[in-house]
Amino acid sequence: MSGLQGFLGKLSDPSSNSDSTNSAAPGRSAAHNVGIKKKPIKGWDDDDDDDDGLRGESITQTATTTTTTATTSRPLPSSSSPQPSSVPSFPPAPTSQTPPSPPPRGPLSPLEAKFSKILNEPNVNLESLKAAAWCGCPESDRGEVWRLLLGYSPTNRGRRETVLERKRGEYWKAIEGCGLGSGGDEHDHPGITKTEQVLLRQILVDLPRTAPSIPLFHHPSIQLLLKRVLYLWSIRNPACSYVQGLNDLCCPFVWSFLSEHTLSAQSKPITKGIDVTKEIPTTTLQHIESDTYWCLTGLLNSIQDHYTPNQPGLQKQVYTLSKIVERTDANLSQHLTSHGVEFIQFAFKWCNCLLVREFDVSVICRLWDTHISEGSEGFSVFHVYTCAALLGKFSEEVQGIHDFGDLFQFLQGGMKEKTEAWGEEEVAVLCSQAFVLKSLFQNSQAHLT
Amino acid sequence: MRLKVVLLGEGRVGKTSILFRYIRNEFQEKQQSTLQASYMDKRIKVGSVDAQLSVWDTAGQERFHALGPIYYRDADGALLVYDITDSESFTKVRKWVKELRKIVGNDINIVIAGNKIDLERNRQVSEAEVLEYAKSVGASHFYTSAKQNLGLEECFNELATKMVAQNKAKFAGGVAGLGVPKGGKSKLVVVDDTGGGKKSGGGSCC
Repeated sequence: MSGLQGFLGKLSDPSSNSDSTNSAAPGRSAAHNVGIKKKPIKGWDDDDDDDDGLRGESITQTATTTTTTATTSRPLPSSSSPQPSSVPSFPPAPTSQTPPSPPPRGPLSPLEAKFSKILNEPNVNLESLKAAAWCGCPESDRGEVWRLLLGYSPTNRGRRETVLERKRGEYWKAIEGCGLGSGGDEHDHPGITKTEQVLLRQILVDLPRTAPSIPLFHHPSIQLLLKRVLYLWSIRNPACSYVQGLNDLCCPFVWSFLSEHTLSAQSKPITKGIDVTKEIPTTTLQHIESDTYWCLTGLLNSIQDHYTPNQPGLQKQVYTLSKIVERTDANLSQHLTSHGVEFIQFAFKWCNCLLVREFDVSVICRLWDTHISEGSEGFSVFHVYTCAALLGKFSEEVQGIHDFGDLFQFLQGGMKEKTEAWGEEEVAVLCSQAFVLKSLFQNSQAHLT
Repeated sequence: MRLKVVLLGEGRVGKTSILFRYIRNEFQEKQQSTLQASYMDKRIKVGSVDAQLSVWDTAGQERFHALGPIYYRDADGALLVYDITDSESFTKVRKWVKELRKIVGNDINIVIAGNKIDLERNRQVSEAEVLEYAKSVGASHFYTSAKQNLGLEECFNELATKMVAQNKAKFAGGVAGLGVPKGGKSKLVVVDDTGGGKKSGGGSCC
């Protein structure tokens, strides 16, 4: 547990549960007015040496303890030499120690200017960043913000390039080491064990079913990327291993990192049908892959018990959700119960895929801005209030449906049709309501039993 | 009459696709994986009996099997699906039969569907083996293709007929107006209206 604990310990915000100073009224719908003021947190930012890639997930500290416990992740192999050039498939990255100057941009919007200021500090203040990102990141900065908030990228600008280079090198070394390194022949990996073959088979079965409506994710390069990321994560986290739906969780990362690239290099937004081979340089794609791996790892570290056998964390979340709705929307709760609908039947997916299947990818990225800004509790705690707020949003509609089959239809897929048209405003309101619910209940657990 | 059916089988054998095709006549080449379970229903006519098929489509991955009993516990029928191009998936069918027989006994009617028959050229599962196995466990076997809409009506017909017959036997004499179909197969007719069940739907029994 220590690896996980270490990570949680670093990330968790001891003040967030009892933060009565959160006076900003998130009910105000203009997203950028929503300020989440939190007390300064020790341990996040005050020590640069700790910002060495994923906190608590870094390469050697956890090595001796994690292997003895059941639920933690195995660290990546220690890389004594941070030279990525020792990895054949990894292209030599620039080794410059000086921080790169920010890419040239056109006139910045006020929001972009705000982020630019925070991100260009010599030491990024994570609290300021979290407060800003809670209300949504500009697309061009999202990738960088997520890398920082998920503990992958160091806050110190001078060291950022070096650390990322090292972590990316580690990823590729691990891919070589796990037997998937050479080439793109998806079935021919003679070096892996029987169990690993079963795992790989499960992943390969799922990959073509990722985000069916977005061609980009079916591009062979992206399929290969997803395969390696998921396979490596699964063998490094044997207590969870691969669980259907984890493929969905990679999509917002890939989307955001690709988007970051197209905006900065080509000054155009990403499209769902982008031809990755033509438009994205191989090196960039390799960076996106390793970044996806590390950020996915950072995210999943806080909710590992969502994916262990019997998925206890997830079941608890679904139970909490049912209790919140029982308290806040008795009519809805009663309606569902009287029609025989159980929360586990529809909310399981919401918690397993963190709402990725309920929203368009661009909307989910915006929603995740808020979740990620909530620190390690974003997906383990805040998420459940988001689900409650989402259900509340459609409460009347749901109560108007009286047929079990139709109810199911709506809760399982029909909702996505409704959220297709969502923009910033709707997400901001959703997050605000989730925030209110969290403030009401998070310190009053007795009301939820 | 409400009949509960559960779809079981390994991941990506086509359970969800079978259901979408059968109930909505839709097919998607890339169907998202089912997590835990999903639900769809359809009104049908079995002989002279109006029935509502409530179908629970379950997740294929082993990880979600712990919750399987929630769905098959009180089911009247199970459709066990495998992919004819994947012998591993047929092994899973054997496991499911064993589990069902062990946990719910003979009360559950089982039909086995060999899906993706449109990919006959890639067949991995031998027909003789399957037929022999189905017979040995008292299950019917059908070949289906959700993609090409083959065999699905027959498959669900068979299951529904079995379930209706069993329900009738169970409530023998207790339910008025349910004639026992005699001789020959029943045929399913989809009833559009949701009310009553008074519609004659004539000639459905052959």
